[in-house]
Amino acid sequence: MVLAHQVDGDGPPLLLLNGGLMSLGAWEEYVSPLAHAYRVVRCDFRGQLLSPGPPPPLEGHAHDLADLLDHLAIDAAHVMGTSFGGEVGLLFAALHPDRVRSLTAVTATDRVRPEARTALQALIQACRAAAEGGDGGRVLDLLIPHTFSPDYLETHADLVARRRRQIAALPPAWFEGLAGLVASLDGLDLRPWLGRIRCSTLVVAAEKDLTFPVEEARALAAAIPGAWLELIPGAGHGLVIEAPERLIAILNEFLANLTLEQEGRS
Amino acid sequence: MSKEGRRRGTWVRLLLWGLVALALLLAAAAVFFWKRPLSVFEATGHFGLRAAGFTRLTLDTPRGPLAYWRGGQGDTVILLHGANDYAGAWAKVAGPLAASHRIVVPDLPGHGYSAPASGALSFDDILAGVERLVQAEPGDGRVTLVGNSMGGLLALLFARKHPDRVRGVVLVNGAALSGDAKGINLLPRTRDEARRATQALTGPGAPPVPGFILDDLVRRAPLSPLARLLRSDAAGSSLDGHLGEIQAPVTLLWGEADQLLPPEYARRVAQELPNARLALIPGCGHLPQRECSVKLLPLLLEALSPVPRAAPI
Repeated sequence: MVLAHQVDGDGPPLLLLNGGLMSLGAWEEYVSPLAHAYRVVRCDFRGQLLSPGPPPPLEGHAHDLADLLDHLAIDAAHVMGTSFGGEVGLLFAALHPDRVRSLTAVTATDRVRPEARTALQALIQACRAAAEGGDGGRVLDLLIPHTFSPDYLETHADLVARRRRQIAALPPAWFEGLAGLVASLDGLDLRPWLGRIRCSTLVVAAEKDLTFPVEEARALAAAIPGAWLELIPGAGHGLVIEAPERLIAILNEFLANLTLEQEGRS
Repeated sequence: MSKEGRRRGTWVRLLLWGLVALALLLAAAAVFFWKRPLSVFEATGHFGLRAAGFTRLTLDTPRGPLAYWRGGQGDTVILLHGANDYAGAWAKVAGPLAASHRIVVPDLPGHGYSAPASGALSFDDILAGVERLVQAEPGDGRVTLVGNSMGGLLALLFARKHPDRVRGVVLVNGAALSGDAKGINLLPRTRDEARRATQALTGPGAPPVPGFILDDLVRRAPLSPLARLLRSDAAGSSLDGHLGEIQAPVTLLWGEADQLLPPEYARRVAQELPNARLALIPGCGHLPQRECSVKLLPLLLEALSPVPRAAPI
């Protein structure tokens, strides 16, 4: 089975990896600014909206990505992933080094701390309750205070309310999938794998990230050989949604510098 | 025709014949994979250990040569696979573990490239193979044994017999007590039985195993090491009622979705062992080293670290 995906534009391939609650449509604002320079590939992980089925263990997602690149006849791609997709991107770079040209890990972590276990378990419970017919909006209620910065919540209250209604209307299978995705983060510790990442890597941290706080991004960047760290002031964990223009600018600069560097070397 | 033209003609003919030979070779390889996929997986699994920088070595035992792979430096850790499995099962974790430990991965006697390839096979034969491996280790000769499934039972049998040679034991969904496999036939006679068995061993999200692989499982079952073991002395190796004698610290790392040896089984084993600690791996089945190496590796590294642990549960 090939992951549900969408391809836009032309140029060097750029693979965008969803956060846990996202579907590939959530990257809409990124497509037109990036598609004129890159062949932008988006996908839903197994267990997300458009790629149904129980999600595999985390490395299974990395293998799915390799299969997707095979399907698209892409040797190697620039990869940008956020949160859950950031963790998968890190693993993809560690396990399939020849498929990843560069990695941008946004609001990701080196390991999911044991302190996060209670919150993850509560989230899994809420997903299971929603899958059995309960209020799916509860899942978002649990997540929102950890996902968006107070400023964003204040200025985007209507958008968040709409999002709550959308999520509450999703089918049980979506919540079951999400429960599985969250469970695969529980106890995750990528540290022994991070030293194996060989591609140029940029870690983008959000100053107000309550899910994977800035210290975790620092630890992540420190554990990857030669990785850069970029801090976005004011943003929360949902940086991809909160500040697309900032992130696109940072990504463009990172990729442009890589190209310069590679040309300089050759 | 000119001399040059004739020469070109010869080259073209050679090239054509070469292509035909290559196509035939590829077709033969495809047919072989179709008919004997498990043999191909075994070879690629072993290649995985080579790719991780491991060296293939051989030891002589009374039952014939024992094949094993070794890599890394530090305290010796021996990785023991389960019944009907082979060393390559550990390929994904062996490389990263070798960054801090001396890792030894055998094909257990009767399995993979290790003798005896056919005929009678007993737990004593397999335990003797492990003893031979430990003897061959330099230094104080103390080792940590990591065992999956039947490999776990062997690790505990060894620890009971040679307490002075064992630093610790790690059970990765390891067998320890007689269990009730609830209608799971590990020696499937039909494609359906093979499908049920593979489903019972894998966690949620594992892709379904294709029919031609299930057929190879059925074909191999009657002559497999497990079938040979069960024909000999399965009862003679039981640890039932003896777990209390094992003083070595035991860490149980357990794929929670294992239907063959479920978490309740792990809890029972942990309770009977004097010095045990249990960590569950959510979303993972009976073979974490194959299926969820990403989550298994940090837990293994923690279990292997020399730092004294908190009081056992």
